[in-house]
Amino acid sequence: MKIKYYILLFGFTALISFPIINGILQILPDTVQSENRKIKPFPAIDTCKIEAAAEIAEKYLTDHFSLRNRIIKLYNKLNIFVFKSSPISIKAIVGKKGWYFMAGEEIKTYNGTSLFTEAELEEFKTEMFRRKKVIEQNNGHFLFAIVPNKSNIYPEFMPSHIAKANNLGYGKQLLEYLQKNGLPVIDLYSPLVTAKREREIYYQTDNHWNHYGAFIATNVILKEFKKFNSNVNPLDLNLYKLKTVIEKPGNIAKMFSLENERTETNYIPARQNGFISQEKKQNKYKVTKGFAYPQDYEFTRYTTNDSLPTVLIIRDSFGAKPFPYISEQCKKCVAIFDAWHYGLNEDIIKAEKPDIVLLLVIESNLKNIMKYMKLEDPK
Amino acid sequence: MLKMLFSSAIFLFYFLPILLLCYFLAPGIKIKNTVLLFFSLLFFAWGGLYFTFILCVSVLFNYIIGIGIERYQSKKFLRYGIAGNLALLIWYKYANFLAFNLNTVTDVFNIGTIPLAHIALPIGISFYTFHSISYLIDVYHKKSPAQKNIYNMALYIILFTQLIAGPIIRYNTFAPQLFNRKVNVQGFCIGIERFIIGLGKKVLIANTLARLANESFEQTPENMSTLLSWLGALCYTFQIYFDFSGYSDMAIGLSKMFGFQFPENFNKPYIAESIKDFWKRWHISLSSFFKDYVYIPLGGNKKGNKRTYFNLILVFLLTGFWHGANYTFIIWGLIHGLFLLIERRGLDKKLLQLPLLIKRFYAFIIVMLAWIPFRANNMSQALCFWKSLVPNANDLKLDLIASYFTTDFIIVLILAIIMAFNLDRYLSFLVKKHIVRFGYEPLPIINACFLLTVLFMSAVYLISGTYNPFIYYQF
Repeated sequence: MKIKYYILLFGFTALISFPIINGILQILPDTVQSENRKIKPFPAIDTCKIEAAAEIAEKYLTDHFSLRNRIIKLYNKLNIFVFKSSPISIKAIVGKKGWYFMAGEEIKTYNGTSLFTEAELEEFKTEMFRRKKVIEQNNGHFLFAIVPNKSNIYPEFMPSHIAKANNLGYGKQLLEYLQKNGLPVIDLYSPLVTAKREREIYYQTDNHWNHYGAFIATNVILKEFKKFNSNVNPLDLNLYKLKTVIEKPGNIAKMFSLENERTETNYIPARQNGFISQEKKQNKYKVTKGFAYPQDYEFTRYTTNDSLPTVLIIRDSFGAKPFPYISEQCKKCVAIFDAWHYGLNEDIIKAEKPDIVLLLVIESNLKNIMKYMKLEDPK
Repeated sequence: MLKMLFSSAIFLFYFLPILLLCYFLAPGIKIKNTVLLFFSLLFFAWGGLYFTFILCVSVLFNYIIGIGIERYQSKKFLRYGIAGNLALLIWYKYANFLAFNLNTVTDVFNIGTIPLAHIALPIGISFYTFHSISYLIDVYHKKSPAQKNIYNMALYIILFTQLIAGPIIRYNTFAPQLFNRKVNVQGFCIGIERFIIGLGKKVLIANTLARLANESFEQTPENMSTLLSWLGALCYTFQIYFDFSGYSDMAIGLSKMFGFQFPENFNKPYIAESIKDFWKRWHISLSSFFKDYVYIPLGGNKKGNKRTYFNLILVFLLTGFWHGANYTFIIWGLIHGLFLLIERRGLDKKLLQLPLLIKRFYAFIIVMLAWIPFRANNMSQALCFWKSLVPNANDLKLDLIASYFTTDFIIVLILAIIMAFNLDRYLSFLVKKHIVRFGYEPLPIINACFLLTVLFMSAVYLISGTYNPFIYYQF
């Protein structure tokens, strides 16, 4: 019995005191923090707010806990590799065969819960037709493309326990409704599902499509552009070399702090001499208030072909990869990332006078349009 | 509101090691007690200085009243003391509830309303007022002399190990240990063992089961399904047991590390064979407090059947109300009181004739169903939940439930069942039997390594910021 007590005494004392000792002596260094947030700085002592001191101190001590990142990593690995479950199930989930998916709205678009109501569909339609009208009054054409969520393109890799309540996610529901009502909505679902038979079109460890997926989507979009300008042609894959690149893992793997444990395979269609279009910084427009990535707000690319249309893309992060490909068939292409508001951006339309305005929205953010359109002035 | 919990990184890796170091470096029991008092104040002040001030005022008040009771042997002093403690409790815990209910009546007669104040609930108030009352009554009944040293008095009320969630320690249990307690390696290690078991129960079991329990109680009535409701109720039944008994284990273990010997608060309540038996096993320190300080002074069962039933119902109404200012707690208490009454009316004799499993099933199912109002936000939610337990044709929402049935959840649920129903006793018997057959007994080493693994895993789960609110701090 004595040996048990000594093991317990030594083990317990060592375990509870190690963080303080290691914090001072730095015996075992911690790994890099991967939470994508600011770590609490050392608190300034404010005698007027002594009541809040404990809270500030606790936040500081928790953030600066010795070996915190190693411990979180261990916890994440245990959950992902042993229990096959997500350590942060509210934010992301672990699928089959190493595929990771976002949780939250992405699951709702997948399992068919929280569909649009009739009233919401009607409201959405009215808003889209209003935008179409404003764009047409400015001599442009309006196109709306819904980017499918990864879970709807790769349902076979979703965890079995997330059953579908309805085969129709709200992205497809909206697509079908708007198409039925005569709005120009681009269907990316079918071409992407067909293309995935060739090779992967979304990342395994990221929620975004890869370059190949973006390339496939680009051609579907360009076919729609052609309806307005016959000089536009879909990109010929034969002119591109398909490079297979091993990259660092994507955003979901980073959330799981598996930066070193996973890699990602990307398929990049690349022209030998690079893109025809050239990027030029304009920075003409005011960045959406509170946008965390102001550097991504506005991008512009030009070609020298005057017969091609000028295009304005209102986009989110899914627009980043197709943008250079789309620009190949544009005289000028401006991409605006308005902090997921997906606004009409009438001031930019008036300034740019685009031939085509493309609204490119990831399926799981469709409800953002509903949310922010109420804040926009309908006039 | 911020609070320091035993199952928090700040407590486990900063507060506890520094306290242990200071405590064991301190020479003599007096200085050790001073160290404990200082750290207990720090522990409490973590939740707010204002509440610490109230606590100190409460200590001073009870100190003076205690001396007054002893010097004048006056029941008046005792009454003032109990009234003062109850007034503090009522003001901070029940004022708004009482005002709200009074306003409902005055609204009918249109005679004005009492404005509701924004009153924050001081941490552990239900426990330290009961500690104080216990002290005053024990002094009055001469079970213990009044404490002449205010620091010793403060240590009894404030001692951090039992401050937030009990167990409720009687003064006559505590007083002899103030200067006469043994601190040795064996006692310290027994304390460590108990603390780790409690931590594991709370962090690894209760928190994991809370995921499904919370999900079921967060559903809107139209989303409720029979299976989810049953599983939710079951998970909550286990969650509250492992959460609260885990906390009690930690409290008892920590106290043991400092040489204190505190009474048990739980004794496998889910193997109870009746509701009466359940209350001998669940939150023992609270039920014995109500028994000794309310039920028996009211006459207990000595004044005829009607008075006994009245006393029973009153005690359980107060037990429910003690848990919180909400009708849900009152209903929970009344359900228990009602079943105790039914058992007293003759069901207990019928239960005696039934097989053990049926008796246990009866007690478990009543306790589980009674937890529903206890967990619900209001009675209408509790009623909806009860209603959803009755199966109907198209309510099997398996996907919602399946999403919670991850490997870790299933392992934890099985563990919870084994531990709650005392099956671990049979399992350890089997293991021991086989090991003895080999003529070798590595069990103490395995046991120590297992406990350290539980501690390590709990720490990993804590640091990783998993769900960690204590259920019982709000009482």
